[in-house]
Amino acid sequence: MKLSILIPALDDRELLKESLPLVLTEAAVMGEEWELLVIDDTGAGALRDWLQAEFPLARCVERAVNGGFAAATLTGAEEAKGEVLCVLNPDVCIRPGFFEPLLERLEGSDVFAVAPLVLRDGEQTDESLPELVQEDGAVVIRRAAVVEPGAVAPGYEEGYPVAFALGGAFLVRRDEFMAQAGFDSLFEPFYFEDVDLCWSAWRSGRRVVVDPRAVAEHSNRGTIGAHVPKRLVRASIEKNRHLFAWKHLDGEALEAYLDGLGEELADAVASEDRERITWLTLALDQLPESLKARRRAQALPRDHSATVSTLIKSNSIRR
Amino acid sequence: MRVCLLTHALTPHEVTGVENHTAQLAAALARAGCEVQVFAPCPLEGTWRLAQRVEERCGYEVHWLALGERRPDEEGNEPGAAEAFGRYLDRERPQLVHAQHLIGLGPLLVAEAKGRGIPFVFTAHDAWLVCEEYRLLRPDFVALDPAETDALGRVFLARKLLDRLLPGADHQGLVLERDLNDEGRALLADVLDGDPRTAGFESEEIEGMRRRAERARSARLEALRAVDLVLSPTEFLAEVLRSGGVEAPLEVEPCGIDLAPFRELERTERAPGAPLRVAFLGGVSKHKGLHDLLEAADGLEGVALRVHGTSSDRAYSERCRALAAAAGAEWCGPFTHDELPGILAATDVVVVPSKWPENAPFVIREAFAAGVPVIAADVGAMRESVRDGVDGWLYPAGDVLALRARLLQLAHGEEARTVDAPRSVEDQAAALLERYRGLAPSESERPRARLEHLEVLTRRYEAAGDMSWKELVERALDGYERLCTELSPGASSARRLTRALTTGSKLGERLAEGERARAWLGRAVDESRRSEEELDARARWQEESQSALAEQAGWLKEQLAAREREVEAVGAERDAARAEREDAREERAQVATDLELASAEARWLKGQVEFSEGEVARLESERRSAHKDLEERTRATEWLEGELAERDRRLAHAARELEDAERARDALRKESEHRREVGERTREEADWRGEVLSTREEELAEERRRSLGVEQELAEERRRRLGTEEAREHLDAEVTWLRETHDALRDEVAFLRGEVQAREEERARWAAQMESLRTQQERLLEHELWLRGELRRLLDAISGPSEELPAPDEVAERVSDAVEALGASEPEEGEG
Repeated sequence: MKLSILIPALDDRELLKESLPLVLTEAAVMGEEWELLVIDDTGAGALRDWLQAEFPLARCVERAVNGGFAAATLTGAEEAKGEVLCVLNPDVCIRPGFFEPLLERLEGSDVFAVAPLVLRDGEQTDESLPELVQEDGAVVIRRAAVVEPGAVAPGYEEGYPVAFALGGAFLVRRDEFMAQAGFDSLFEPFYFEDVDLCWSAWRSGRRVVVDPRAVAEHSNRGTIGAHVPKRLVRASIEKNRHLFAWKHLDGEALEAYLDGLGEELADAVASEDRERITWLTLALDQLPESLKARRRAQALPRDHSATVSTLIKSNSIRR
Repeated sequence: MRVCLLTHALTPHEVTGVENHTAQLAAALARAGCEVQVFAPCPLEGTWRLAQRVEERCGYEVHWLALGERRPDEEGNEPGAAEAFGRYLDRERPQLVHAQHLIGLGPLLVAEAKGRGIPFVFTAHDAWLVCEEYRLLRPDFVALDPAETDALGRVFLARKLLDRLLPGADHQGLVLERDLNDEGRALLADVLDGDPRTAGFESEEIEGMRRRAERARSARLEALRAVDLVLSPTEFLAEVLRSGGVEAPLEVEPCGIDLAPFRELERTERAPGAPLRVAFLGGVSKHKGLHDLLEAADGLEGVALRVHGTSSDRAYSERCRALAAAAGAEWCGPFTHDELPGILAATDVVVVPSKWPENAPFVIREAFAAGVPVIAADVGAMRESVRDGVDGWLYPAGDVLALRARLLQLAHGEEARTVDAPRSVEDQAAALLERYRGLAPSESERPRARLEHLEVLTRRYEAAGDMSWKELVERALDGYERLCTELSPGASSARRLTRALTTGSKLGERLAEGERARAWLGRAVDESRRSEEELDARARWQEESQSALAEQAGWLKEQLAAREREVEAVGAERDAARAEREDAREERAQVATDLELASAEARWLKGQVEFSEGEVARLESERRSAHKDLEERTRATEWLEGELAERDRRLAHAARELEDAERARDALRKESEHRREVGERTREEADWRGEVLSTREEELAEERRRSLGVEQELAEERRRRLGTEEAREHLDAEVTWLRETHDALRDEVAFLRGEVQAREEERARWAAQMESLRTQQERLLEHELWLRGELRRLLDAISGPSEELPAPDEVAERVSDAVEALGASEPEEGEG
């Protein structure tokens, strides 16, 4: 078995009705070399019968309790039989010719993860070719460039290096994913877990690339946005932005971050901005775990070669 | 429950209806146990734009947002206001937002609350939710349909035209006809109803305004979709909102007022013969229609009109002031809400002469609370506030004559029967609290994420939300210190924070800006001090000059006194003459004024009389016409009754005829039996009966024609008198009976004809038999004669000729004997 397609899902039947037929059509060209696992993360077995009736080719893996995206992906990876995992969100619709270029790209041993060119409403966004930069010390995600979908420009035959592969659509080797027990639970419930996974890979001298020959449309209609209050989603993003910095930043970038945080804190107090202070306190609740994660990250074989320093230093410090 | 009342303005900066109501409602909700905060914009007054300050009031807080002069964008959103409201929501965490108005703030504030999962209630006090021109009036006072964005685009163009036509005038989007000349009126008509290009607008601009109207409307409706509940104080406004495109749940919830200031109110009653005390209270704006009232009250005797209010429409306000002076009304100017009960206590009637579709003016409720009836223009939802003839009177909006007539009637004694106390704000607050509880769960019922993996974050987030501001900040600062210690022991958090405060951080920039402002203010203060010193020096110099001048003035005064004494004598004479002339002039002016007033009154009364005469003539004509119509109807009824009686009589006659026919038929039957016995007379009888029957047939045909006539008349009758259904049915039944009788008689005639036919045939048979018998008889007679001859001959042969013929029996014996004697000699056949 070559490819295991994992789709962690809640009760997202409407989304799956749209995305699964496209996945099955594309997978069919690989003969017997694939499997499709839909991980039912409802904790209530909401999808089994429906999948059996509507998409018998999909295997339903049920979780006894709702665990979130990271935990559900790990459950799927544990159950998977393929050498390569393709993780997709239920609201991601892939375009024809999706798997072949991505699998081909992953054959390069230095490539840790590969992602398609992710569009929203046909447009390229920060998710398409993401890079990490620092603004007032904070780590933010920006779009590095705009490329032509479906083609590889000269000079980028090895794929476009990106800071991370979007968790909602990427391919990774199963053994490598399992070796680090999937995404870091520090970033629960959501956001920045994919950034952390790929950034760790970069720090170890591996590469993460986007191959624009594979294209996916991310409608951002997933369950989180529909069921979770926006301010809670924002709180999770901002909390994890801090945690990512605490885990990964070093040297000048770290100093810039800490200075920027001091300014941020002073400004939030002066302007009575309760939300910004709340985000920081939520992150501070996890300070001990984040310091442990930092130590783990620093213990990994490190390769601060040209690639990493280019990504961090040339793009990130804008103060 | 922590509730945020969100409003576009609040007392004391604005003092009209919604602002006062919001303050009263906040206090009432606080009394009902709510934790109330009012979020409202305020003028800058020396602070920074978008700065937020808190004011503690009796039972509630006001969170002021400094905005100053507002310049909302095309969708009605004031730049920065929504974000500032978001910051307030994050800081204070109200459990529900109840908006009173968002004009000048913008619909984006709804999204700020809904984005944070906070339930949002909106009380619409006018049509702003569905139309930027919330008065629903075009500049020419024609009604505006909120769904017609093309018309709204033209209104925007018309405002630009008015800016051009009335430079410097604060027209406020409305213009009275007399404000424009003919050309201006024509241009305005072109812009509003014709081709705006004739007024100098380019096609692009016209299209741009239309699109702007569409965008403004869409932005409002889009924001509204997220609102949990829209409340309307009246059914009228609710319908306007519904038809204007509001899809959110919409319910009617009347507004209350604070009744406390009116409870102990001591009214000063109108003294007998004293003028009627009429008051106008509120905004002096064109759409409020004060000019109508001033025109109606102009020169009215027995009416004392007082105008209380203020205006930002300066030109209109000045005109009304002049009109008030001319009409003899007292211009009292602005008033505070605290002064209102006192004003109403000395008022007999309040007039609300609005020109726009009013919703539920608070002034009406306040008047009722003080026991004062109201005269209101019958426009918008006024009918829902004022019960005509009960607690006030309605008159057609803009009908100055009708308003004048009403004031005259009231001045001469008519009074309202019942003025009930309006709804209290406490009652409204209690009803609102019920609604709030249905929309926002209490603190202990705060919604938690249903997803289990979110529970940890949700719990921690809520715990942070429950912390006091101080606790939260301390926690963040402690954590920051720990973080710096762990990650970069080289630089302490205190050093970093100090650096943040002193270098180019946002806060530093803000502080530096503050410093710059302070320096500027310092310079300004110094400058003003210098100016003050200069002014002091100038004042000293002026004082010195003044004392020199005073000395000079003393000398001059003495000179003047001498001159005055000289002039005094002449002056006394002149003053006497002048006084006389002045008295005469005043007297003449008074007479002229009286004459003019009397003439105006007479003209008006003449108009009233002519109008009344016309009304009387019209009514008389209507009465005559009605009387004539009644007579015609009576005549028609009588004729129909006669017809009915005639038909009854004819029917009775027909019945009698039929009875006679029946009796005749029985007699005929008897006659027929008798005829059967006497064959010869049967034919005559049958003929006679045939004649009788044909006569009866003719009578029946005639009766049928009459029935047809009756049917036609019945149809006519049906058309004319719907109520004679029973009579028609009765006549129908009679016609049916006549038809049946006619059919029976026809059958009977047929049967009798058959009988007659049979009798004639029988008679014919009898005649033939009689003929045959007669023939036989004749033959027998001939045979007898022949036999007698033969006998004689035989007798002669036997006994010789005899003189006498023997008797037949004797002859027969003789013949028998002779035959026997003859033996076998047989007579020839055919001879017997």
